[in-house]
Amino acid sequence: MSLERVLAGFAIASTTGVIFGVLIGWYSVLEDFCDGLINFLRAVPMTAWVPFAVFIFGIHESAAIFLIAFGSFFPIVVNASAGARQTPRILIRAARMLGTPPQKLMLRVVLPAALPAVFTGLRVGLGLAWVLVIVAEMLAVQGGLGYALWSAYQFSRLDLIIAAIISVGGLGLASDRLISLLARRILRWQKGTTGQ
Amino acid sequence: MSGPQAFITFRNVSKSFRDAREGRVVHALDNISMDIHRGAFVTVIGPSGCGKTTLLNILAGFEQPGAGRVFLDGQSIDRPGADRGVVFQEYALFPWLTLRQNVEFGPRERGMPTSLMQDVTDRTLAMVGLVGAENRYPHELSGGMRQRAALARVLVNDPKILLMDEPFAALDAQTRGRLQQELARIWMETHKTVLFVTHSVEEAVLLADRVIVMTTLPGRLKADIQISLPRPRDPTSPSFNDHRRALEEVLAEELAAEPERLASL
Repeated sequence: MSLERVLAGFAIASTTGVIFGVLIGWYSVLEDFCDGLINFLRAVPMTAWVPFAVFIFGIHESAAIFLIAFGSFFPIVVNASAGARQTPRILIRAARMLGTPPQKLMLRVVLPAALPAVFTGLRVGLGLAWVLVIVAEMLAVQGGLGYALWSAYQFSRLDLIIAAIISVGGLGLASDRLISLLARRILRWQKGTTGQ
Repeated sequence: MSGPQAFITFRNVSKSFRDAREGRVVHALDNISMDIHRGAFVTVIGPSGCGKTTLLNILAGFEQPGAGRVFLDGQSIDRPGADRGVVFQEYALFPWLTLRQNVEFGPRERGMPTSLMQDVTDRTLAMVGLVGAENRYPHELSGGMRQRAALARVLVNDPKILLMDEPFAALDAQTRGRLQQELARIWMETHKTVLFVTHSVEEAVLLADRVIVMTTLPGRLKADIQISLPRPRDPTSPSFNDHRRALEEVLAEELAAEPERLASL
């Protein structure tokens, strides 16, 4: 149940985050407009959005998914836009002189150049998604690991609390491994260029 | 100015920009006019910081002239295009593409059919001596191989002109020498018009039909020298040395003219 919520929320966050991030990083006009808004929203702790989400969506699946998607959106968008902004100008020029029209530069050059940063954002975002699913399940919706955790506390069952914590940690670790593996496959062109 | 045979024409081109650090206006190009014939190998030489790269960038369409116009084959230039292949000193290969994918980038963008693309890619890779390394990524290649790949990537587009901005400056002497010879051979095979920016007198004399010497800022044309030595050229021959000495004297004169500028570099 928790896993489904994380997947749904993270899917929304990663799609919108990457698209917005690359757009913001590439078009400086958008950046000026969006930067203030994003940093304002980012400064609000995610737990502060719980009452808002429940008020809007009720004690319902969509409240949890909203919280997860909304929270993990920010690290993804910030990293993707930073990556896009750092696209080397010489690669843009190279593509232009090889025949890439200006409207295709984003897909051909900016997105691939931003990919390492995009994956950093995705990893941070996925970690945050696990935090948020527990928060949402403890406060806003029924079912899932967070709900089990809170119920276990109310029945004073430390064994169940610990079991829930281990489950969350295990799932978080596994999903992080999975995304790292994906990153390594997609970024295999970087192999041997970074670190030691 | 522009005769009937002119292929590339610079007409009264000026370009200045503001030096962000010192806050003063730099006149990189000051009223440059010249014609280049089809098939010529022209090198542009001048002190560091003169407008030679700006000249190339304007022809490439990366920068717009502040005044004047540039024509290629009768067409006014206002943007980059695949008819002008640029080879950068920093290679500028796409790091996420293999060597072969880098070479295929241009044909793909222009919608070339796959079978034809494979064919021309194979031929181009053979021409620059890169067969066998196709599936490596740029960072797995040596500097010399990267520059060959960068050359292949533009040759495959069959451009009207090649623009080369100090392409061999970052290479070791041996690799540079080999690539210079191969470029001379490729030029004779393909009859491309080449504009080649360098700061090396030897390189200019080795490769060019014609050497344009530019002044330090403001960038103007100082001299226009024909090099009619037979090819392949022998850098150790007396006649090669005469040309080199003559060109070095012109350049030394220019360097002496602005000692305080030189000291600041």
